[in-house]
Amino acid sequence: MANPGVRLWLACLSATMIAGGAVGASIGSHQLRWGPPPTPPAWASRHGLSGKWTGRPLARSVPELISIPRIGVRAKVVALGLNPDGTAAVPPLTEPRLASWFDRGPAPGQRGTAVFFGHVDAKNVGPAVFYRIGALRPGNLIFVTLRDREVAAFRVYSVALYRKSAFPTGAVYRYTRWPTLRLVTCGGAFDRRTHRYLGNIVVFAKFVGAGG
Amino acid sequence: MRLLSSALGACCAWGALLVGLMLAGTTPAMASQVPRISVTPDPSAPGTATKLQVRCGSSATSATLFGGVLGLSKQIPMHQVPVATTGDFRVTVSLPVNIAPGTYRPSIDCSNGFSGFAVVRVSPVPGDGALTGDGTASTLTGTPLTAVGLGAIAIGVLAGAAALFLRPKAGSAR
Repeated sequence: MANPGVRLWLACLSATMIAGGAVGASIGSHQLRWGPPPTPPAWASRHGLSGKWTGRPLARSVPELISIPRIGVRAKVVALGLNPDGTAAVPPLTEPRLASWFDRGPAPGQRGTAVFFGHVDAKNVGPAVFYRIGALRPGNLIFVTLRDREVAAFRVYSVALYRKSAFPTGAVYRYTRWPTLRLVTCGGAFDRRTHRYLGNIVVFAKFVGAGG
Repeated sequence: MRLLSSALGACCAWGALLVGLMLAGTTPAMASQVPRISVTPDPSAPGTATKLQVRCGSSATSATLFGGVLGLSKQIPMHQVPVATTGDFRVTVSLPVNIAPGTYRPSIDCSNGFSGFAVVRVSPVPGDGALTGDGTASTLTGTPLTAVGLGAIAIGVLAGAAALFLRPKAGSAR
């Protein structure tokens, strides 16, 4: 009734698909779906705040949007302060696409340091808003849209990974005579026991101007 | 006598009214000698720029911030806001990086005699790195290859079933 050739072909196809599928499924199930977030090379952190400063600082205005073309980030910003335990408040993990601005300090474009936080990853979505900030390099641009419709531009001058236990609070929050910006997220190795990243990636940028 | 006492009473009443009116009139004037003072941002963080602005009134020609309580210079001259006609003065200071969190009340004196206290609330800065991730990207396994492999297995099973179904039944070859 049936062509023996067809049966043989189906049998071969079956064996091949099952064997190949088993191998593929096995390999895939052991691979990370996204991979650890990128970490900056050592040379990216060797640049200090330097250069001639021109222009004028901006008036205080709440940031509403942050855009980082180099890594495809365009995110809404919420203003947050401190948690009761003194750590920086960050958006909930259920809002992994949001960035937060530390509203106890200067606003972007004001003299001093404006600090932004964002998640590196989160359940359900995987990579979150600041997943790729470790891939930023000196020279890359960051834009912040303020409530008064000014768009403040910042140029990255350093990207570094720090151990959480040695987080450089002074360098991140210290006053700078010229407006500067910091982006902070988690990075480095992930401790499966404590379910925490062991480090923080910090991007340092300086104000280069503003436009409407 | 009665006329005299009623005249005296009326006089007292008028006097009391006059004093009352004077007091009522002077109280706001006294209050107005406390200038309106604003602090931005509120609260401020150690090591950051904080702007203090005072409204002294049009008769003031200068204002001074007494920054000693903040760990700054004892007397800091404030700058007149050029466009304001209300005697506004402001100054931006950098809070010391080691200032303790709390509420500070530096005084501000205007040249016209007005004087008041600014309320500078200093909040702590985060002492630690932020917790900004749950490790999903670093721990969750299962690439699209898993789904492709499972799909291939399913196709293989169907092909095998089809091969078995098409096998000639016993006796059908006769």
